[in-house]
Amino acid sequence: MTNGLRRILWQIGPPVALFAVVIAAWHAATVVFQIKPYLLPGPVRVANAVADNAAQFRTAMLVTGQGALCGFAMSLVAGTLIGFAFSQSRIVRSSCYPYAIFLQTVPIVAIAPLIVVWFGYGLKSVTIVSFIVSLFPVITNATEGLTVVDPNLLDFFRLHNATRWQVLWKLRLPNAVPHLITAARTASGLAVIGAIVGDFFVGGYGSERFGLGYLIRQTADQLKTDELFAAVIAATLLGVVVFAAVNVTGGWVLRRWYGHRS
Amino acid sequence: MPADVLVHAASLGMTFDGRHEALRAVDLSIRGGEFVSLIGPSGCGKSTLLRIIAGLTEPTAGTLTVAGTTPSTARRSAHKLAFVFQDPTLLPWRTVAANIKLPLELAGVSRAEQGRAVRDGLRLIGLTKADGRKFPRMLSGGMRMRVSLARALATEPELLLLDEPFGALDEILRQQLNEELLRMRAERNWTAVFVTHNVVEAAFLSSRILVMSRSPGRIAADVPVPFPYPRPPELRSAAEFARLCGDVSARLRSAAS
Repeated sequence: MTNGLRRILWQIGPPVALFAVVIAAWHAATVVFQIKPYLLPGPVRVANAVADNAAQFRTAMLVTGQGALCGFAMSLVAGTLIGFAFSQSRIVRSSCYPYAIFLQTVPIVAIAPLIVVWFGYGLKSVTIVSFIVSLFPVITNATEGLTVVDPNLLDFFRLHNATRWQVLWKLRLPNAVPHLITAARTASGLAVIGAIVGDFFVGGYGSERFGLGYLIRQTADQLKTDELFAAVIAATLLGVVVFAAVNVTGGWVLRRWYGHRS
Repeated sequence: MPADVLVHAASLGMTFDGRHEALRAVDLSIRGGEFVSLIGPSGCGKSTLLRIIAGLTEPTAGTLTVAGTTPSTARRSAHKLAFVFQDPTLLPWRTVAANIKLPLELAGVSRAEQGRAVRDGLRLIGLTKADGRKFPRMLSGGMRMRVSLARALATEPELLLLDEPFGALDEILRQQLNEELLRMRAERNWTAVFVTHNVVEAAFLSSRILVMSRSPGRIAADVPVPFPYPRPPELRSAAEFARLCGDVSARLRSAAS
């Protein structure tokens, strides 16, 4: 067996084994203690719920994923621009920063009605919630990447009579790239959470098209616990897919940035 | 003041935050073509003096001129000035070649000229064109410092300021880079101000050693180094060389006490 294969087996083997143990224990518990399915459905029931409603879950994941991606893209662009404004002027930074923290602390439940009043129910509002939830880490990382620069490099640019524009373009922006990748990693996870929460409060797409958050609420209300479990699994899956995609892309960009060759 | 004086300081003083006096009454004259080492105990203000010559720090007393004008005016004129830091301070996201041409890019010279400077720079430090496509993280510490030197020399400066550039390298590598530095200098004969706290390095490189004392920093001794250039590596084991090192060490000890 090659070393690489052995390492991969070591990475995959233990979590898969743990998964099997947990599923078996779960199944055994529901059978032995005769737990009522609406309290805790067994793994077989949940699997059936997934299979029976596959199309519905697929649509819900796409609807939520759409909101999450829109919110994520908006917070990347807006967060970078705000970080840029913060890095250019201390007055802008110190006067606006407290309100940026507001974004971090505001409970979505509290402003959800307001968002609905302004943007109505649907994708637009879900995107706004996803955007609000994921914006803050992009602002802080972008600001840090643009301002925390090796002082010797700043001296070097000064010694060579660099203009403010050259310092920005050739030093501060490239310096911020790794920070922006960190920002994207954090923001992508938050954007998915934001979109699901958004479905919950401001989704209201109706009975034809709806997101995972709506599905979670509806199945919980109807005590369809097996479908609720399936919806939670779908939500987790969506988060993992988005997070993994951003991580792989970010890692690739970063390796190229510093000239790693695989 | 004689016409060939490049750097001139008169009763230069530097006090940080109105409390910590780093330099007091420093008088100094460096002629074009000299290689002057500033040697002294830690905290004697030698790096501060170098930063003042570069125009990165404003003195709080006295005057300092480079080519008869202020450092910041001088570095905008034909009297080009370059600085080598203790760390290589390369941009990690740029290749070796792109790092070497950075000062020329900032000066807005043509691409053809940048390309020529990269070729010259790589040759100067013994790297191939393929090495030029590598990133700093792929290079050893010594090689990164060579790239830093090539970058500093890319603009063909008249005055090169070096702030303990080889302080972090092991002894063998340091000696090797000392020899390479003199070889590079033989090509264009720039004036150098070199900060170090290594006596052998100062003696091997310099035409003059300024010994500084501490709290506040002053110039305690001005020691001429009589050995002609080019200097062979064997010079380090010559009796006169050992005598000179002993003399500088003694002055350094009395300056530190």
